[in-house]
Amino acid sequence: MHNEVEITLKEALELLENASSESDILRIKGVYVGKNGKITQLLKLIPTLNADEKPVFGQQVNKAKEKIVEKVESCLEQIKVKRTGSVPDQTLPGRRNWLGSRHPISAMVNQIVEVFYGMGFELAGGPDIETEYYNFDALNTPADHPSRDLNDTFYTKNGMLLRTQTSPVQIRVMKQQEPPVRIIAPGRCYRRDTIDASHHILFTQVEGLFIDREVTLADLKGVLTTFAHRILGPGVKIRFRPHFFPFTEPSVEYDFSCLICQMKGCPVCKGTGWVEISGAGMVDPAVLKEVGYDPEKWQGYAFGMGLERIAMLKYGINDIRLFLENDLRFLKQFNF
Amino acid sequence: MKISYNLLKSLIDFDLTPDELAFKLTMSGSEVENISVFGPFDPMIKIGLIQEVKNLPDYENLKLCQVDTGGNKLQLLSTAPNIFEGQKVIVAPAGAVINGITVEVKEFGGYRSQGMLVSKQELGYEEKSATIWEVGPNEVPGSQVNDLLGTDYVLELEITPNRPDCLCHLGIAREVGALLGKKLEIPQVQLVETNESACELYRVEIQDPADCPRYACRIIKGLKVHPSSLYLQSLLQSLGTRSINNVVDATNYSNLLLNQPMHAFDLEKLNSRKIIVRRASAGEKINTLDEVERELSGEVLLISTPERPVAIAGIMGGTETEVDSNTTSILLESAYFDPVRVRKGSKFLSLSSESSQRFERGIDPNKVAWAADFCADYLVSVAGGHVLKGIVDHYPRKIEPISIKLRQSKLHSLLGLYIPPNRTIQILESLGFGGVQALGASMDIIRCEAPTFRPDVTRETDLIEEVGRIYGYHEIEPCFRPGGKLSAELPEIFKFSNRAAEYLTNNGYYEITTVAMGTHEDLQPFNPYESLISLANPTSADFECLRPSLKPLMLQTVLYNLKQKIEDIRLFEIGNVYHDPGGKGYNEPLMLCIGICGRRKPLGWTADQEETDLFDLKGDLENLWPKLNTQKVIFKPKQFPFFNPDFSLEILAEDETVGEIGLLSDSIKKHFDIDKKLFLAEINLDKLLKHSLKSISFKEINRMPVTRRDLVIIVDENLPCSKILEAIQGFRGDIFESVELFDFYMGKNVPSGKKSLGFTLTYSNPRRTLTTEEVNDFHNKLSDSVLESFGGILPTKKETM
Repeated sequence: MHNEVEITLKEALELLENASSESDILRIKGVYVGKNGKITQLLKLIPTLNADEKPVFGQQVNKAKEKIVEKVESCLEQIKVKRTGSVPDQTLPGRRNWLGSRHPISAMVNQIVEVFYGMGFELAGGPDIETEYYNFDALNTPADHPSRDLNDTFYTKNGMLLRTQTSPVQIRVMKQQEPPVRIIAPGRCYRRDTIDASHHILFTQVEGLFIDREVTLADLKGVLTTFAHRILGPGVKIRFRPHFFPFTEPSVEYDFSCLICQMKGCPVCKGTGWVEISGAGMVDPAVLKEVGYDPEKWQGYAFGMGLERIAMLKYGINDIRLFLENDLRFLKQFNF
Repeated sequence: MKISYNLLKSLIDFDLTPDELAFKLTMSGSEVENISVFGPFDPMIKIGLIQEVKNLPDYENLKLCQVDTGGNKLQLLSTAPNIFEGQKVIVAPAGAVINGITVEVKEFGGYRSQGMLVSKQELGYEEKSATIWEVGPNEVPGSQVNDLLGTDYVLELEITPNRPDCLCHLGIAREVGALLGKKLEIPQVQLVETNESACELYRVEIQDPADCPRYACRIIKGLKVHPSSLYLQSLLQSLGTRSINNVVDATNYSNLLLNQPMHAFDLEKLNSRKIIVRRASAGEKINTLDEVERELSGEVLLISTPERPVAIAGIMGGTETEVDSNTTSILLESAYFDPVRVRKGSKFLSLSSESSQRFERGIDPNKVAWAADFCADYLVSVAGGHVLKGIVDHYPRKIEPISIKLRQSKLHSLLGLYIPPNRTIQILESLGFGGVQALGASMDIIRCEAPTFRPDVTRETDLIEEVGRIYGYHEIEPCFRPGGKLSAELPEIFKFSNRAAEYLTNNGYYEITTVAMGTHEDLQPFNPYESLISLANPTSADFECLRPSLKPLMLQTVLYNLKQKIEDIRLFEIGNVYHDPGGKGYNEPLMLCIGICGRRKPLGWTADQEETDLFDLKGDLENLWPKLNTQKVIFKPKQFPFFNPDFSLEILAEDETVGEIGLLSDSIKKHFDIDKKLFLAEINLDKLLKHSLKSISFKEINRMPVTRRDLVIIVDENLPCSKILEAIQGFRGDIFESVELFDFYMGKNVPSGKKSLGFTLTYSNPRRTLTTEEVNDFHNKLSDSVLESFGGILPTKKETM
């Protein structure tokens, strides 16, 4: 009896070993472990056995069945491999699919949104094609300010313009909403620059604005410090230099300590240990009045930042044109 | 703005190295971009007097000179064109070192040259010199250049447009004083005048005081025009101003010191005792000092005599009244012109000068006369002569300083920094603010007058900036405090597009960002509207219009990468496009564009090496829909001019068109010079978002057994598969669950012009177990219905498994 199980098993395994097609293997499977298969039939003998033999025999039959099923599967797998014409070798590289990733600037936008969102900033936006009012007038820019010039700003044929900064979003939001306001606004901006390694006509800016009753320049320093630490690393230092912008007073330019040389002095920081990032300041009372906020009750800060510049600093990229060239050999370096 | 370290030191006492000075200025708002060093010079380099010049007949341009260098006589050869006897020059005898090179004795054509005549270029004061350096007649032969000049440092400052007062040494000296807690002493002028009265002889008429609020002049007679002293020449040259002669140099020197552009007219050439400040009439002409004849308009303000224009006010003088070497008397003009008028004139003429830039930013109207006196005094010291009594000064309406109040509490609340009232007062005083005083016992309010050289300071907030920047922003400690209420959710479209991007990057696509512009020719074929939005002032023809679609930029990117020999390309872009629907303003919908070409799978040992096709892209999109939870998105054949007619479909979500997908047409491929099969899809994310459910609602799992039946039918090859699928899905009955296409076949065993489609149908009912008869019955009915509706037949021979 037990012997018969062994013989049947051996027979099945031999047949499977020599089977050369998928259909043969499946047929053999049917013959041995199918509904009326040879092994299955053996189980019908169980009632004829005495009590202590029953479980032992049952187990033996089931084991044989398992072995056959296992063998069937491995044979099917081998047939498949043979079909592709390859030799099985487990050191072959795996079957990979294509890899992809975000553009480094989109990735930067997401990281920055995450950092500021965590600090309670809402996300806001506005159109790329703006009016002179939102891009200049409402931001306290004098009517004859050179930045409005045809040499500096792109105008459409019907007198609209391509925004030169994300600051018009400040105005759009404040006109729509009562204070307090706390937003960041990433977006594309355009300037009529000559394209070279550090300038392009298109760049990405993030605008930040916080208006409340007691917001100070010290709060701005705090927020920008947090931003620098989260995006560039915990050791980054920040400093303010007085500057001038029509829409902030006091105005500052803010610098981060140079990541490349750790403030020892290098070409990127021109030997100063500091890299200029962008402008910021306390929102000018004229801007607050323009949107209908009372400057005696409300005050706050605004800041801008150029993302290409920050990405260049973070990754050591030396040419801004790479961001818009979209060379896959460039894009593939940012698989984070 | 360039600042001489030595000249600055003569105005205010400080104990800072050039680097320390630069740091302090940078941190207070005047960023120092560069520091250059002049000197020291080899003591052998001396002033020389040319005693004799001989042309050498055999050698064109070569001259043999005898030069006295203070007792020593040297014989020198030179090709310089401007040599004459009696001229004072700079001599480097053999052995002297200039720029690290030792001057040597040279012989040429039998003549010995014992050194060289030096130019400004060789000493670092000019980019390129064509002549030797001629110095003023008062220099003494034999004097060492190093004794006369020493070493100086020139700091190049970036002055922000709101700070015209920092465009001169006096202004920077005031800043340094404020930073060091010192008050600047303004230099006093004690002018010696003759008895002849200028005011009786000369009259000024201002046509419109709005154009010229103040006009002053001094008359100087009996002066002598010659090259300036070595010191003045080198100072001006190092500050970026070309040295002309002692008279012009004196006005430029005063300007660099005081920020008051002044102009000297040759009195004899002027030939008039009346100066009129008036607008030019259209078509009027003047020859300016840069030797250009300029046609004027009513935008331009002129300085004129009753007979003719003599200068463009605040911008440039005219050649007819130019000071030259024969000039002996001058009219020295010092004025305050309206900044807007100067800017408009400068813009109209496309002519910008050192002077116009200063007037445009605004100078101090109340220092006009003092500056004229200062300059007159300096002129006499460098050119001799005498100053006529009195100053002709037209200033009908005095511009008064503005009184401003500053609350200490506001200063504290804006800066987040406490500055004691006494320090505030001290800073304001050192910056030149007048009448600074604290009001009330608490000293909370400080009142002061903003000087007229600070047109940028008119409000409390401006004063706060002044105090803050001098006190130092480095004193501000970063403040970290939690904000008010936390914001609402991130905008839906932001999350939606990020979800799409995340799915695509995880499925082998790289994101690109492109310049949103292109040529009309490239963009128009993809424009769903009639006209493109064009720029009035594009930087190049390549960027003349804004993109109406992401496709053309995708094509350019694909082409670029193909040219880099990258063959397998899977890219996407998410970005705004710009539509002009005509008359209703512009729209900027957010679009997603995907492009693929090359292999289906990466090169490898088992992979399917076939070229990618429409169904790869379609499949990726079919998986994107559930990721975005969008409802009822289907593809429907539709012709688009940019797609191949056989592979061109629109994408609809709940019957709204949201995009299109297809194979790029041959004509577009040709236009963009792409020679590979490229599949493209573009989807309007703003529209698609409307068909996306924000949440998922759970449906009870059907735990009843399912039964599967296959249906293989042969139909006409032109019959769209989607129609059959729709028909199956639409078949009424409560036991049908789903259908999948498992096989598509054309060829052997299938009649030509036909195709074989194999469907697997799944049957189940969540409430009961189905009987075999029930399933067979339903399946047969469904099969018959499908066969009948589409004229299909069953395969003649069923394949055995």
